[in-house]
Amino acid sequence: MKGRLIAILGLLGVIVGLPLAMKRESETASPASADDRLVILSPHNESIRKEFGESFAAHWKKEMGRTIYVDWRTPGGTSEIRMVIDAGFKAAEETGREGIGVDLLFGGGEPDFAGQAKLGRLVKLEVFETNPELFGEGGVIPEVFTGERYYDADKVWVGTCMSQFGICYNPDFLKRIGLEAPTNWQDLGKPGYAGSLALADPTKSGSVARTFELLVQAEMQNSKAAGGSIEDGWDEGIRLIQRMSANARYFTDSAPKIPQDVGQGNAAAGMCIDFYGRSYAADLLTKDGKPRVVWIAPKGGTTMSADPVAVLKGAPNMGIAQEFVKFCLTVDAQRLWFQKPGTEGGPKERALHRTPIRKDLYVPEILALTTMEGAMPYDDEGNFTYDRELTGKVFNTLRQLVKVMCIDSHEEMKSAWQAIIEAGMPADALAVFHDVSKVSYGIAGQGDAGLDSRDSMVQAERMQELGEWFRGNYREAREIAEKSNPVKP
Amino acid sequence: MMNRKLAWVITLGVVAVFAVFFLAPAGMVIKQAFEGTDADGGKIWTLDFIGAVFSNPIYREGLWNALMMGVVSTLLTLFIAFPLALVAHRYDFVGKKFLGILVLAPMILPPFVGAVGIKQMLGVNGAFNALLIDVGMMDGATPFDWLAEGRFLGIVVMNALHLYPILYMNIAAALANLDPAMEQAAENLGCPPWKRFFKITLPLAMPGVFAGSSLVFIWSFTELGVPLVFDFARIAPVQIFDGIKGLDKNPVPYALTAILLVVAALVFSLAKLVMGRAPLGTAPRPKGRSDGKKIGGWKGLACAGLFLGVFVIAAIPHAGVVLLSLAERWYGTVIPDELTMRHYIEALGNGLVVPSIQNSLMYAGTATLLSVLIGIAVAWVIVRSDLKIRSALDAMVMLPLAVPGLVMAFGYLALSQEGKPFHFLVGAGGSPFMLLVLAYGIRRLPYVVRAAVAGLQQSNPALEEAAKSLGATPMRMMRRVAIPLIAANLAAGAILGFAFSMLEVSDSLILAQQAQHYPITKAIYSLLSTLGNGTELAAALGVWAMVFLSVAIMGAAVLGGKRGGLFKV
Repeated sequence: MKGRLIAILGLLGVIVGLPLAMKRESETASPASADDRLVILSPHNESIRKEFGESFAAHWKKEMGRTIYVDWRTPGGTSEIRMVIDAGFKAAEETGREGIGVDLLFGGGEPDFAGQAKLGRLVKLEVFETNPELFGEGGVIPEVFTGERYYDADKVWVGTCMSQFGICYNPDFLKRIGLEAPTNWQDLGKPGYAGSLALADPTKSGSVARTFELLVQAEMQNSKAAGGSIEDGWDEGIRLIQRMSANARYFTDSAPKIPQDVGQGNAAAGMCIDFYGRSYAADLLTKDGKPRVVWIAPKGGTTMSADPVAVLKGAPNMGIAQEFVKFCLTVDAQRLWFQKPGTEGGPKERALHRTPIRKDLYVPEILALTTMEGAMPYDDEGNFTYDRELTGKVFNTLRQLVKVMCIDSHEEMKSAWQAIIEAGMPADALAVFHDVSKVSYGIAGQGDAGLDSRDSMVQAERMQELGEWFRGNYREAREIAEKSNPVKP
Repeated sequence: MMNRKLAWVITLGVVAVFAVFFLAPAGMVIKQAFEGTDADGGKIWTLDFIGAVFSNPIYREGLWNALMMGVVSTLLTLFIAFPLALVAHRYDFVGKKFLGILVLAPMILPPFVGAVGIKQMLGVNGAFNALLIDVGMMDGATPFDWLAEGRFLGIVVMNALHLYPILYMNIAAALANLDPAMEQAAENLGCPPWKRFFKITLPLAMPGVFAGSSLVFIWSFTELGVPLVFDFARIAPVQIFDGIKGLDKNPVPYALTAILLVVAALVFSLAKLVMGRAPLGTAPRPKGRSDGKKIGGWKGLACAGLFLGVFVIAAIPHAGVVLLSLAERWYGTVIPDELTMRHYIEALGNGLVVPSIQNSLMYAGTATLLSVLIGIAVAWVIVRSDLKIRSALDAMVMLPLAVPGLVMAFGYLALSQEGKPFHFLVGAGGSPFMLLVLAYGIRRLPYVVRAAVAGLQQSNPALEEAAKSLGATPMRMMRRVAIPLIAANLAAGAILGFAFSMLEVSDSLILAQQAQHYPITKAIYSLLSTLGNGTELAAALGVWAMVFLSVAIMGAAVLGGKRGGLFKV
């Protein structure tokens, strides 16, 4: 027994010793020995944190001659971050403190930052005073592009790079199910995708909710351009969401899960943010070197939105936080976003595959060093400009609508869709499946009174009412389809 | 019988600890379920949201699905674990010592990458389909979607294969405490084997069966990860998770949480009434312990085959994680077509890893100690006292198992902010040591309590009383008599508690805020978001954690084996 015990302890020693022996030295200062400190709350991935953390530390050392420890706080994705900030400010309010011990919020979507700004939790950024030449007309960072704001009207947040939701697909999978490569959102509503589409969840992320809003707005704009009404366009947009959702395997709040599943061949296509799409496209290859993931920006119905940074109220290291924001907008920092690793001024370890916000980065000498040589985001508006007037008020309604109509009713929806496909898409069943009369533009297009209600009980009741109505439609559509199916009685 | 005064002191002490460190944090999050607004915008107490849950068919169905998932998973788990434990108890066969530990391995599946591992094996384009296509049993043009078809069955099977070690350990401990003389007497009196099983073995082992089953039931009733892998959203735990993380602040998910807790406590109390009573009053302590009847030949091989078979099937997700950690490319083939060690070199060399190992050992080790101390005290009151309140105490200490991780984590977070009551628990430099030890310790308490209760029900209080009447102080009696008698059970409970603390996710992600305080799970989470090979890096560190925990469990088995006879190594 003693012998065995010694053997096991020895084995444990080896197992624990392994990482000790393999440990690499890091260049960043340790928290105890650093002269300065900066606390950043961020949903950015590890690669971005690492490149920006080390680069800012080097910049700080060069400019100030002091070492800095960047204390990244990463409780999860944007949902968890929102909950952490809420908990912090609630306690701060109750105990009369100003801040929550965090300096910066770095990364997320414009809706997240706009929400925090509205609650008065962000402070004015100095960079707008020290470097006014960067902004607006004649500057390198426009105030608005493709209808998206790139900095706040009150100057409390500013975008550092841009991102765009698009479609990623697996060419092998599409070949197997006999579908052409998708080029727009409409393609994802094709019945051939049934059971193999990966969708992002609009109820947990502001950026995803915005993407669904854009998708509907694109249909409205198209309808108007073709001489139709925006009301019909709205209905068509809602129906497109129904078809895409009926094809979906799931709705997820994990951004990398979608390209991962597509690249692995567990899903044919999905809704995917550009940099994950590009990153997986570059890294996941087949045996003969072909990409397993292809990312495209759908024609129409998507914008380039800003990925911001902001300084939080009561930041313990206010001065350094303001310097970090300035640093993010320098050419040196901007190059990190899209240069190949190891190129001059580029990231050290990994390509980040993101589009910098400064226009002056898109010049041949720099583009030659990047992972996206042909990128000219500011030259091509993608024939779509977001019009806040058109759908801005349905941001909340639409999210709730997707929840009751598609996510909560997914089981009934999928089985109806399956029956309709098997019966050869009969028009009468499709009409019931696609009945959106209870959420027409007239009722919900300016924000549904029930879904938008501040009273949670009213909201819950309206959600239940709509949910039961949609599920009733789906069950009926299934029955009609099954009856008209000659093969299956 | 236990001294009533002492029983009250312990009960009140435990209730106080529970009220402060469990009911307060969980309650302050869940209380939103009962807060409505009146006409003037003020807050009022209301049951409207509880009513809203019951009136909505989607939530009713979600609750029903969760309940069915719990019941069926528990039955299936029992069906796997009981035969294993019984075979190990009755017979001595080739490789038994090793196999007995091997079958425990499936419970240590690393977080985050476990799901990816399952998909790599069972996905449409996964290893299993690739194998079927290779051997000509499936058409490559129409692969079967294992995860989407027959989801309920899939989830139940996955739950059972993940959770059977909990039940196996508890039943094995119960059988180890069983006096072989009872079975032998039945045999000598001509009782046929099956009748002996139902009349003698099963009733005597009931405390262990109940202990394990109640843990497995509550676990699978509130399981979140497995339904998510199967993309099954209409089940209460997933509905809660989705609701809590949603952008709007509707109280319905909290109402659903409150209902889930009440149902868990009710089912537990009912089941206890039916099957949780101590068997046959006071059984004598076994004098000798046999290692079982030696069997060789094909019978021995069949026994070994049973163990090996269960292990191999249960370890499919683990194999997925291991292969993933070694894969340069793994796409539509049975095993990766190119292997590499580079993910290990990069993952284990990462600066986060060494401190995270140290942190996890500290957090999980201290938490286990805490839950063993509280667990023994609680079990003592439950089994050895005649306090009326003891059933309620028993149900209460089971609740941490049923509370969603996010609810507890955000409760702790809110209470530990500067100026709030738990702020004193935040150590120098923002160390979450105390917070995590309490959070882990309380959430893992049910494992220790159940194991200790089962042990005490089987051990004979006459021995404790004899020690006392011979002049032993209570401490000496505990140290020399009572604790050694339930050592097998305590070892089982502590091993489960430690392993699950090491793998804890929600509290670790939310409460360990600074990199130098990360436990291993958060280090895995950080690596996961590396661009390029994040999944493989996370898998590599996950494999490290699996290997470490396996060897640690083996060590515990060697230590505990001699006294408790749980593992008989």
